[in-house]
Amino acid sequence: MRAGDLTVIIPAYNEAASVGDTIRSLLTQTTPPREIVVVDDCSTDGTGTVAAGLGVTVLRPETNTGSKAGAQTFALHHVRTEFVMAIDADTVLAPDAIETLAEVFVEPEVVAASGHVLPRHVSTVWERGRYIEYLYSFTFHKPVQDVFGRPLISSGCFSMYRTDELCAVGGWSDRTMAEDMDLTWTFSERGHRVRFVPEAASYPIEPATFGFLAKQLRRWSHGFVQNVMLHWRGLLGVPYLRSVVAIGFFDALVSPALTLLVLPLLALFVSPWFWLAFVIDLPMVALPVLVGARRRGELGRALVGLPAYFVLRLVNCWFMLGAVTSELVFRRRLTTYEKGH
Amino acid sequence: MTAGVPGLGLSGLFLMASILVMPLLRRRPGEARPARRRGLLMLAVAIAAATWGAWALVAIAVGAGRKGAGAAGLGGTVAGIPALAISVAIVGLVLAATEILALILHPRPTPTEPPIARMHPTAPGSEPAENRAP
Repeated sequence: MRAGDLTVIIPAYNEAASVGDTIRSLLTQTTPPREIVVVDDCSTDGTGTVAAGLGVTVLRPETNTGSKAGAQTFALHHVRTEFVMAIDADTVLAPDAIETLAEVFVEPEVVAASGHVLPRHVSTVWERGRYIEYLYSFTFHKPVQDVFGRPLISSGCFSMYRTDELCAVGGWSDRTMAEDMDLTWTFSERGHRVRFVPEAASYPIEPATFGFLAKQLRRWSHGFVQNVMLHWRGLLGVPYLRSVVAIGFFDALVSPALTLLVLPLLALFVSPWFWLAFVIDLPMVALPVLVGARRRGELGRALVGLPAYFVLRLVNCWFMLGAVTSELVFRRRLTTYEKGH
Repeated sequence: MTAGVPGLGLSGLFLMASILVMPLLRRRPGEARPARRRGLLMLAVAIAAATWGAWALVAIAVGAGRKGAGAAGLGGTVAGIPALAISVAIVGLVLAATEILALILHPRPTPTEPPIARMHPTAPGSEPAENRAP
């Protein structure tokens, strides 16, 4: 990517407290973007004023677009550069993140790329659980998917795209609750390559409270089910990705009931040894996490956070159970985008 | 978000199988350092060893406690079948069903939103025309 070929879009609804940090981290990049566009989605807290004060372009739709996807696509109409990047308004980047991520676009068939994601703040149980979840996923799952050329998802909080290809598919769609997964699978169906670049690091603010976490997990779990329902026929033509999605969908169907119902019943009425089943995969989780944490010099933080991961996983199961029941059994689609950080 | 079955480890098992297959894959243009593949392979071996050790410890503990408590179904087996064999069978069935579906049903690309007409590239510093914030 040539310097100056990139526009960064920051969708923002009431992000006055965090958007400044995001913009500053973009302005101090080793390869700064040509333009930074903040979509002030009818905020009431002065988000647009904060952004304008830092000298970036601020767009304000006449009415709230209703979703992150809507805000991003609203701004896409104004992009004139060859590449476009989406970043959340609560996310900051490592100083060389853009330069590192852009390197993979040397290959002409690469249309999208995303980097490593880790929570910026790690103090509450939910942030600690998410820290471990991300370390596990970004140290182990995503690199393997990248070797096969088919990452499951190009993370919405920090991804770069070829503008032409993004425009060709209509930008970010709000037809599901997970616009980043929708876009990644759309590209894969079209035979494009999507890359994961672990060296390009980003740090979003993750939900610190259960209230925010619940909104986020509801969106993510419903988004996954909605995307499977939308894309399953197209994904059948994408080797490896279809296997990853099939295993993930099977897990989503059976694991919540097994985890939240069957295992506790077995532990209560058959043998208390069944409680061990909740942590028997500790080696599977802990080893990649500790390897990833050691590279970052954060071994202590990882060790402290491990128990929180197992709590978070139970909560994940609860929300996945809700999503599967609602979307597949009762045919009630989640259509309202509730911001949850 | 992670919502796999604890102990059953289907996603993890699939990942381990993927890593085993990796040496057979050609390196793609632009792919990161070959050392990354080796690192993943070593990690998978370490995980397999640690998981085996964990199950062995559970088996020993359950065996020791079996006199006092009904612990049927534990110690690495379910109804006499190794838990690993059950997990492998489930993963195999899911993958086989997916491949059969892919063979039987013609993949149909998912419709997309209408394309967006791009603005013409302009000089750096030129500004978009509408809806500027105050």
